[in-house]
Amino acid sequence: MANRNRSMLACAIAASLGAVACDVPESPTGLHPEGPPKIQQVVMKELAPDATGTLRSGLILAFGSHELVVDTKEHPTTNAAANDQTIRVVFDEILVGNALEEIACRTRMLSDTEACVVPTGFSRVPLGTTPDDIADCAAPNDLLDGLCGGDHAVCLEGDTPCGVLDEDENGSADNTRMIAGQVRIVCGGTEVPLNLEQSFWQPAGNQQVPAGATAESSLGPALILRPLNDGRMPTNSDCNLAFANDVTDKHGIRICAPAGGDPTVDCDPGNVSAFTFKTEVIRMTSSSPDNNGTGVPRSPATISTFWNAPFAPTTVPTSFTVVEGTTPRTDFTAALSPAGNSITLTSTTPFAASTTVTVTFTSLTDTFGKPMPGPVTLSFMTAAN
Amino acid sequence: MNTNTTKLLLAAALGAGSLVGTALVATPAQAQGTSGSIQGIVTDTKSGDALAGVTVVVTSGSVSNTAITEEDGSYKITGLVPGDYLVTFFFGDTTIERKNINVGVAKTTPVFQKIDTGAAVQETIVIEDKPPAIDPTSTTQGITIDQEYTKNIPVPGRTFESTLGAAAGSQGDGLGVAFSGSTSLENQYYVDGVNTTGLRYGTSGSPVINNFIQEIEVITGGYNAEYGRATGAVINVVTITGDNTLKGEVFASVRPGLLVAEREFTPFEGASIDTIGNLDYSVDGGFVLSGPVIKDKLWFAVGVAPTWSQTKITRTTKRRMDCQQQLPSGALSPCDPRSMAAGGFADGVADVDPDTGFTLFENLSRRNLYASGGGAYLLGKLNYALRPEHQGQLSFNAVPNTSSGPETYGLPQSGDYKFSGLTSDISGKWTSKFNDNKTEVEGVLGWHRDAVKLTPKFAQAGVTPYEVLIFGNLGTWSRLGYEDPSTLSGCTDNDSGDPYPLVENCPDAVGHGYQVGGIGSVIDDKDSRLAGKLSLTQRVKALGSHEIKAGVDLEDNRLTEPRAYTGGVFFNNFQDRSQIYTNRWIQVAPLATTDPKYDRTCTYTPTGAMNSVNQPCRFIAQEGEGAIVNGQTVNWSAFVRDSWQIRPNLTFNAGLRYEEQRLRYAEFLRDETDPVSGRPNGSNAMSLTNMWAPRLGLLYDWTKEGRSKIYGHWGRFYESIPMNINSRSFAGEVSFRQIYDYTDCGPGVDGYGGPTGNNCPTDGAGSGDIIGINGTLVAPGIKPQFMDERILGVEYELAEDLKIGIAYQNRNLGRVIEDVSTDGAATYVIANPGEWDASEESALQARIDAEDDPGERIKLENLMRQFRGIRLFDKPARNYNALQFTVTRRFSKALYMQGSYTYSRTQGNFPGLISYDNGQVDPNISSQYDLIELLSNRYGALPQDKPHYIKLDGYYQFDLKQAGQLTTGARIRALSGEPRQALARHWLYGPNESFLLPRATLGRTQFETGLDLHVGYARKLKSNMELEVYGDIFNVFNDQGVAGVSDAYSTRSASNPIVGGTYEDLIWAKENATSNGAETPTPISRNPNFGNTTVRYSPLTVQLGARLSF
Repeated sequence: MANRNRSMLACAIAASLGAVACDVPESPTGLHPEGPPKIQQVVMKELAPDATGTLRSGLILAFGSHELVVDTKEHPTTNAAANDQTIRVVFDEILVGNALEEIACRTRMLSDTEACVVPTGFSRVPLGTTPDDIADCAAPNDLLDGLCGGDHAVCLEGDTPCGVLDEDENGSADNTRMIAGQVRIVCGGTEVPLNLEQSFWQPAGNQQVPAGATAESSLGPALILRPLNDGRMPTNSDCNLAFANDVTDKHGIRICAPAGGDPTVDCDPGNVSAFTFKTEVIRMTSSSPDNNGTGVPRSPATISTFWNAPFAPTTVPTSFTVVEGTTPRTDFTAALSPAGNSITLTSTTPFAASTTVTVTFTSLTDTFGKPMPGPVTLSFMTAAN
Repeated sequence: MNTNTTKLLLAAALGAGSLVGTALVATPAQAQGTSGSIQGIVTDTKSGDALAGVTVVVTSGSVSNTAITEEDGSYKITGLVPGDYLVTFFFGDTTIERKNINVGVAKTTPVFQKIDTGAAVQETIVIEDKPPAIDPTSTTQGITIDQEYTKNIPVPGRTFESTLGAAAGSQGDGLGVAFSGSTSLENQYYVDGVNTTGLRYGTSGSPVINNFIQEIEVITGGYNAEYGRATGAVINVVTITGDNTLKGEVFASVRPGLLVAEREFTPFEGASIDTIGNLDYSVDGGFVLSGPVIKDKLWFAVGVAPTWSQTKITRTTKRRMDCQQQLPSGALSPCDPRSMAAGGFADGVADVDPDTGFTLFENLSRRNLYASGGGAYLLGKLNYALRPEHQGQLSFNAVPNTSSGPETYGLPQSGDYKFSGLTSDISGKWTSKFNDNKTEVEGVLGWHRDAVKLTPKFAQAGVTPYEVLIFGNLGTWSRLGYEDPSTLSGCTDNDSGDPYPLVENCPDAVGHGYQVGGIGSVIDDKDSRLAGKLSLTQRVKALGSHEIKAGVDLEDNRLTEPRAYTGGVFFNNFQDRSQIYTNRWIQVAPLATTDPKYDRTCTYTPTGAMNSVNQPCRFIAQEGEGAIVNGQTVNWSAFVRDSWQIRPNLTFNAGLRYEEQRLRYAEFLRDETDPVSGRPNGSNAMSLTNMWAPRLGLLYDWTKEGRSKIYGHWGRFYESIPMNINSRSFAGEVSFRQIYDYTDCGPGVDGYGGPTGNNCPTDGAGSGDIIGINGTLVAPGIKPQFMDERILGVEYELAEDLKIGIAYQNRNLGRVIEDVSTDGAATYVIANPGEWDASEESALQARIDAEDDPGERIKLENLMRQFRGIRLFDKPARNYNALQFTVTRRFSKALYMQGSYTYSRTQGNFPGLISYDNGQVDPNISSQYDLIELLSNRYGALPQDKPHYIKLDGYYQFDLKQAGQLTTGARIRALSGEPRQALARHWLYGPNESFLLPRATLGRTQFETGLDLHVGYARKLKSNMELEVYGDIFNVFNDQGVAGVSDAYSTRSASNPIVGGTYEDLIWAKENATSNGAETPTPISRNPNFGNTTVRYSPLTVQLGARLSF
């Protein structure tokens, strides 16, 4: 902050003299590299009722604000989507990518029987490594030993360079991925595993919106966090972000989250507690028969339910009751779909005629072990015959 | 001071007592900006008192001008043709001659004289020393280039543009010479007083061969209110003018290919076709002749100089290799194309030179192609003197030219071309003086015209769509029949003769492409300017002496050009992604249109919208409606300035200039309704008014005899917008780009490597992007682009003929006009980026509030969004600060020398009217502000920023007495390299649009030096005839240094700027999908040629010539 002020003062003096060039001026297309790197916005999917009351998934700013985003889409969320979730964490300055991503390596044949293999297939990149160093380590096999070495060598097995994966031979890595554990989503004490290939560090961007994009989808620089299994999150959980100690800006300062995402508010490096969110609870998204349906055929006695989260299979068999009129039926068995988010109850005995059937799910837990907050009930009226 | 006393031969003829006030013999008139002056003060040697009534006669050849000194001893003689003069002072019986007084264009030469009034003897005193070269009345920066310079200094070109680099603070920029931190498109060029600035872009519009030129005045700063429409420099060229002496010159020069060093080959990664051009010959010759038609009344000057040149282009095809390995010794193994399993060295990866990192190639075939050109410089000039104080001039300059060249990356029947052009200028001027020459009226009429036409060598290419195959394979393309059999077989992969089956032999790895369609854009342009100006000069005495000048001028600029593609469309056939991009000019109509001429549907998705729109449209064909654009811009200005000599050694210059510029819609749009605003277009698309340009200057001569000056200057200068904007922004330019997968475009064509764009649907079924669908708006309240300049300087005649100077110059762009887009290039708004007037916002809001029609209200609210978005953009900045040290030794005692060292910094985010970074030349409508995501990282050292620049020019003449005269000249240059950056493609706008890293963060190219030499030998053949032969050697050390490197970090990948990033961050940069800009987790690809040399300085070249002058 102080440096910037001095620079601006010098600039002001120079401007008054009308003579001397200043440092880079404050700019609508600039960032704010002074101070700790701050989380400026967090974009994620939230479930919200539409005009008909139906819950719809849409992008919101769960943290921070932007002038091109309407107020109704700027708020902390307690109903973040538990599926197909991607969290975009937008910063007010760029971070050191070396602590966030690693690059793909190739396998190099050393002889007819020996190969140089980087154990994980990916290599961290030492600080200070340049694209030229990467190009050196992407050289053809016969040149690798001569070119790829020193403090900035990558894709090593011991001291032997295996080579950067560069099938298109342009001197840059064909692929990168997030480094496991460097950025974590923690929900109710449970760590949400990330899809490391689909999560990434996007160093480009600022608070301006590119052509063909929206503010919700494009602000940067940003970390894009995609949970494993198509963006699956624990339900009904209070979540926060956590960063490894070496995830910092260029000055080695750790990330923080200012209150409300306001970049003019100070925050302590490493403290990101200002940002939390809560995921949606387990809920039934649809069923067959429909809830409150009438004239449901008595046979087959099949009840299909579709949910917003996949379930732990072990919780399913004992998670429900079926009551026909006032009579409990215990002959239904439950089957969980392969995707885990559909439960089908079946019985060989038809439903009774003209009777209200009530199905109550009480103790389902999602695959993260998060239970339902309360019973979910489905009822319908069977047909006369 | 060297003073000789001799008898004056002219004394009797002139008769001092008969000289009262008027010229004895007329001097051919010169228009504003093409003549100079002599002024001074005559004083008594002993008392120092001013001497009134001294007759001062200036003589050149047989023409003279006369003045009588005023009460304060001062005199001034104006309207002098540039050249050397004899100044004679007559006072009583005393006559004093000052010889070789040089007068420059738009310069005042001080000639102060002391006379011993007590001398009893009638005598003539001849003084041969040079007067100081310091103009005590002017704050202008710059240089005067005369015939001695162009004859004795090795000038690299044959026309005046090649001399301009002698000015301190100037540098070449590819389109011309740029001055004082500006671009070369910000200059104004005048030839014989007529504005010859190129209409379309602002380049030099009329080349004039140096042999036709009397003098060139280059004003790089500090110019007074008489000059305007320039934020760079003002260049005045004065051609040879006839007088009462018949004289002339026959000349010829040749640059034979044998005496041109081989151009250094710059290796480029991945190119299977290499081309390198070497000059075969360049020849010109001609004559210039001037003299009287009617003695003392009518004079003529004519010149003709044809020129021819030819360049040999060596085109080599080659293939990659896979047969070598680097041995433990570091050397490459012998070539063994067997696989590694079979004991050879083929490993499936193309071999790389360990020293350069470039892929190794072997040549397949070579052929020589030729580009040639020819033309002629023509000059005709008549000067007429009705009476000495009433004179006129008619002049004519023309340059007809033709050239032809081959296609090097494609089929000859596609790209071989012929080019023809004609530049012509006609002007007429009249000058009248009244009131003992204290009042002067001058009128000028001029017409400048430039016509160019490009014709394909093969007629079919003129009606066929341009199609370029990109990132394909030369082996495939060879089947089209143009390549040699050795290329066909050598590049074909996996056939029986392929020695390297594990690698692709001839990929187009760098995307040069291969042209298979027609010639592309139709070029048949005609530009013209009709200009007139009138000025009045009045000299008055009031608290000192004033020279007050006022004037007006008017320009009618017109442009006619096609806006059409041959065949109506062009195709980018991306073979690496199996997609064809079709690009068309279209005209769109409102959705509700019932006009049957809109016979197509252009489907697109507006920015931010979820659903596509079926927009009624029509494709603009090669001919027909919309295929021709007619533009017009009308400029006018008025000025008044006063050069107030408060005391003989103290001058205050004040001036005020007013300009207006009105840019009109293309003719076919003037009656149309703007689709966005819903308002009639009217006539003027943009009117720039209130261009008030004050100029102030103060000069003080502490020596009181014109041998020094300390001065300061402040001025505001407005840009004159070139007419390119008329054809692009005010002529309904809308294009439709569709992207088709190969599966949509029919079967592959043999030799293409895929289908042709000709078979892609044309029925509008495919959706695409409409660029500029909403046309171009002009922000209400838009203000003109201007620059402010401050100069502080000192000049001093340190020793006889030796002038030194130091000057600080600051130039700031105060405001810029550029087009911006706040909706992803759907709508362009010509505006002042970063600012929109609050009063305009209030006015528009009031209109919205008062609007009852919901449809109209929506339109107005859309306008409000567009205009408010202007403020989101960074304000353009270009700040030039320079410290110039100059030294000039005027020609005397055989030695001439001038030199300068300039330390300058040019910083900002806006280079000016040329976008050097992406090569775009679209003044005021570059891509820089089109998309806001492209704006980051632009601030820094601009491409013009070359901090150190040393220039030294000089010559020495050896008098060999009877044996003649030997002249040696030299031209030395040393300059800093150019700032470097890392650029990437933008998904919609293409290559080199995105500053991945902050400007100039990657250092700069290397420091460069150059030496040119001249040797000439002249011998008198008769008393008035001299023959000179000479040789110029350019780039003596053949140091083909780096003039430019590739800043394209990624040519294939689109990616947005990493704001404030460093080189290390590029490892983590991610691609945007090239189809829609969507973000991906894929790292960007690296251009193998990033950082490699792309442009080198010209090789050693020898030019031989001869001049016979009489």
